[in-house]
Amino acid sequence: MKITEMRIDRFNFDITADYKKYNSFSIGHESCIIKFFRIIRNPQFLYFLKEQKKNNKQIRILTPFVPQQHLLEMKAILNQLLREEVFDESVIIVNDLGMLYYIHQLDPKRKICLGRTLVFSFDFTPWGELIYANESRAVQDVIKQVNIYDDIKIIFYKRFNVISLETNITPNTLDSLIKVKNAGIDIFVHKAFYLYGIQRSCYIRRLSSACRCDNVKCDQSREISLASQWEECDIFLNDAAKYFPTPLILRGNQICGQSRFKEEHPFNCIISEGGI
Amino acid sequence: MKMKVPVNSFDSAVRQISAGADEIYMGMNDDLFSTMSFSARAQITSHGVHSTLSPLEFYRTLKYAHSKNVAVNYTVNCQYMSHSDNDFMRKRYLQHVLMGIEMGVDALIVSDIGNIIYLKQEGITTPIIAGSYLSAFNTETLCFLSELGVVRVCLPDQMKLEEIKEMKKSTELEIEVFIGYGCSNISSSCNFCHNNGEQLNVGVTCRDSYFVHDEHECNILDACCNCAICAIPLLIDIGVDSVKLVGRETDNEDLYYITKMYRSAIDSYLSTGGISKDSIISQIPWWKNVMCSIRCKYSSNSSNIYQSYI
Repeated sequence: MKITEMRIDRFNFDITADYKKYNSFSIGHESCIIKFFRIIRNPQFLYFLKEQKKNNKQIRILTPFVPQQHLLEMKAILNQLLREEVFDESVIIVNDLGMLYYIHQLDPKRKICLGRTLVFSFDFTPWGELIYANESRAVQDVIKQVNIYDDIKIIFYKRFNVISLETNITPNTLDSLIKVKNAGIDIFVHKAFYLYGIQRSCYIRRLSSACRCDNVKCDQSREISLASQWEECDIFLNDAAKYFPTPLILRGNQICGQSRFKEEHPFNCIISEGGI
Repeated sequence: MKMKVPVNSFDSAVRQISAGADEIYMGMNDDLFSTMSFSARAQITSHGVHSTLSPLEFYRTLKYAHSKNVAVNYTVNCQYMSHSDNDFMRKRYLQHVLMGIEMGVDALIVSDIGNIIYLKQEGITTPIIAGSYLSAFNTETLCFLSELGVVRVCLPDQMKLEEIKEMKKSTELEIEVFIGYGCSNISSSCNFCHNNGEQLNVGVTCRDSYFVHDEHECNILDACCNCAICAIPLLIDIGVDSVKLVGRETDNEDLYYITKMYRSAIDSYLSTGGISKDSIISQIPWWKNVMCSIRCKYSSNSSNIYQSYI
């Protein structure tokens, strides 16, 4: 059965809306540890998830990369979460190899999903085709795949109980994702937008004189479009401009863009209310 | 504390070594590719810059470096490795690695978990340095990489000084940190790749200027700390094993002065217990205006970017 998952990764997630069409929920954050702590501790969200679990909905925990300064707190919260009934069967989505290692030591039977930031392909780059265009067909076939489509990595990750992964999707990565799925790793694709990059310096904190989080602004997405470039580039040439993914969308420390993949696919789907 | 500097030609190696590099890192061409490589840079960038060396020039450069007691790190840190027919790509990768080992490289920089495992399985004993694409933001990742058998870990660009200190204390692994130009985005998950062989000069997306809500124009994605001169004494005191400059595609003369400047800072601290920042950075006239208090790395009292780290 295909899973359609709603993501709870914003403070103003509406717990009163009708979510009947979703059979899964994930809670936490993909790239911001501070937001992860605040979302995962929100009692209203936890209550909401308990109610959803009663209705046999799947609940997953979404974790970001964890800078060393937050590691102790992260470990403490994971220790607590993994003992809570609402999360007793939850898959943990990891975006940090250290967390993959830690969670597996803490709870070797815990099922893991590799997060989107751990899956790479040059084809996710807007001008990806231009990176490998001059290579031989055989090389191109390798370069445009997702790098998880690799026997060594698949076997290795399965030892850590990795059962699924999250990813962007492009027409050129579709085949390799199908093969990863056939190798026993379930695939979750983000419906609306691509993740082009994440930063440790959140732009909201950077623009605030006190360098503090602003929970309200943090929930809002902000569109930006290219004005001028740092150095002389070809991107403004008529035949090149099409490669630049404008507008870009800032969501906290994430840089996103509209998904370029509009076709049907055989994978699970993640929907975030955030922004788009 | 060693200083590691990129080179992209024999001449650039001569210049960087004369400027004070203790280690150099470089990649080698492979005729499997037209413009790409097994390194994290293209053989030829869209600017026409050769980022990797021909086998002959690589060998000559390596011998020269060794004659000057400078270690050579071999960049075999491609991120894209995946399945290929009859595993031809990985077998070719192994050949490419072995060619460098036979020439005498001192260490390999590897950034793909599958490649680390594969090289170990194939009996490679040359020390492996985990590249920054493996995003070792915490001590758990160091433990993970240690179990894979690496000897050194290059931490991501976006670390805080206290974190480096804590991580260094916790591990037997050698720790390497960036001191020069770097990335705004976390490099392992950045999909605005450049200098990888693209047939279009795309510039550097995170340094570009953007219209925000179609109103004002600003460099909203620019979040890069580029200067660690003031932090050199702290990094030495912490026991950091290696500091790394980037820029295989940078102009050799520009890089020469940057290398020289950091060499002065390291030597000055080791010999006198202090550094005279103004004197050191005056070697590059524009440095102060562009960097100081704006792009400071590992220094919480000055740079807005650094302070905004989550």
